[in-house]
Amino acid sequence: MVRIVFESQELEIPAGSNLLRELVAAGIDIPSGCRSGVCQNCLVRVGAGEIPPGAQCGLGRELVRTQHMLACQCYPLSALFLQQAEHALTRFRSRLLEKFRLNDSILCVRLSKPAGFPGRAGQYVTLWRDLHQGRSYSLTNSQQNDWLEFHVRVYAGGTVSAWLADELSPGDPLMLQGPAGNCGYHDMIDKPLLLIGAGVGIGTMYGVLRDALAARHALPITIFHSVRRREDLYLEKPLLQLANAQVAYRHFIGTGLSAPTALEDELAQTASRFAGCHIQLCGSPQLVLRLRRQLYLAGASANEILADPFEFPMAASIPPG
Amino acid sequence: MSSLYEQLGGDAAIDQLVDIFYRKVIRDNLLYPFFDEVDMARQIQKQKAFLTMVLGGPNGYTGRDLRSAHAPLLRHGITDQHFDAVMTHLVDSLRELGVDPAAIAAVAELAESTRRDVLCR
Repeated sequence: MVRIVFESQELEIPAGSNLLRELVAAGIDIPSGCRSGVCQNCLVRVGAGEIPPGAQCGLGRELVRTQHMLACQCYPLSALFLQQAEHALTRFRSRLLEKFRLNDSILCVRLSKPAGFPGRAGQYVTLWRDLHQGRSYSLTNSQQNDWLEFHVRVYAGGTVSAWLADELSPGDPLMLQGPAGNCGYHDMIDKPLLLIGAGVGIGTMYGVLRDALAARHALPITIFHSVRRREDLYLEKPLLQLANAQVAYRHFIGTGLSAPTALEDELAQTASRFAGCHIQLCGSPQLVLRLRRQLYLAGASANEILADPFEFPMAASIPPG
Repeated sequence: MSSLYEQLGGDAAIDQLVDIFYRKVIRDNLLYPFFDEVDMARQIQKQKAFLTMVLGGPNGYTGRDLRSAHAPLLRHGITDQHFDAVMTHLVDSLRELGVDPAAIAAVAELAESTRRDVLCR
């Protein structure tokens, strides 16, 4: 057993067990969202003890310097003394403005923008249903609108997605937390861009594309959309309208989960053409991680590939409730 | 005498080195099985932090010690042959970047000194 002290509460947990799960099971109130190391809601500060490997992955320098780590990515092997995070992401009050379907599985959600909210398309924001149930979604627009827009894949029984689709009505309040994440258009005017959206990830990439054009990005931009079925395509019309000598848009209708998708087949031939590009990838985790590897092996620099795998908590890894 | 880290060109140079080196490693059929299940970005980040540390750069390595980090690979049959292959890729990467032979020899010596820990002897 390993001794964990959180503020003034003390518990013993099995060595190598998941810290977030144990803290929550012990009744300690830690916000959490994706439980996959992406949303950073479960940030805690380590007062003393050895930070296990991987628990700081993806954190910015400042957070690492100040001994922060992600509880959901922490599997302690020795005693830890923990404190509330000092740099917790700010929470904002917002309201649902409107919602409508983009296709049979994707919901467009527009929320009021809190004063001073700094987000840009590509960053993620956690939408809180209540104090304990939140999920992170990527922003699909920046400062050009006075609302915040998200494209949400609705899962039957989804804690937040089904709530957004079925229960939340225009005018209803909710809490936002964020923004966070490195994706989005910033400081990349000197390189051609390759933007890839898998499934609902195209919403985010469309937002990044609009930001790039608004910033007068003059080098070529390629935007690819990968979907499993033709019915999953959306934003095809506006993307085709933006396509010109500078902007190339293509969609790929792929196959199942394990077989290479049509997009991977295409990149097997052409990936080296994108070696000098700045690349952003957004969407389902398996495909995003495979594409990142494929593009890296074809010569793209690891630092120039920003990947935002849309993780969602696996039922098996969370205790019910 | 400046550190090897500075001689190689600091942070940007280590980025480039890790890019080239890690690409060689996961392209290598002999080594690929050891890396297949590992998140690439995380692995690259650790390689960079580790190389920065051993080369005498700003120390931000937060990984486990080498021995416990590689212990699980024993079960997958890691041997001298694999260690040699990684060494070759590291040296080739440094050559590709045009690093001078004396500095390459120094880096190789440092890397060689980790053999016992990596192979858990």
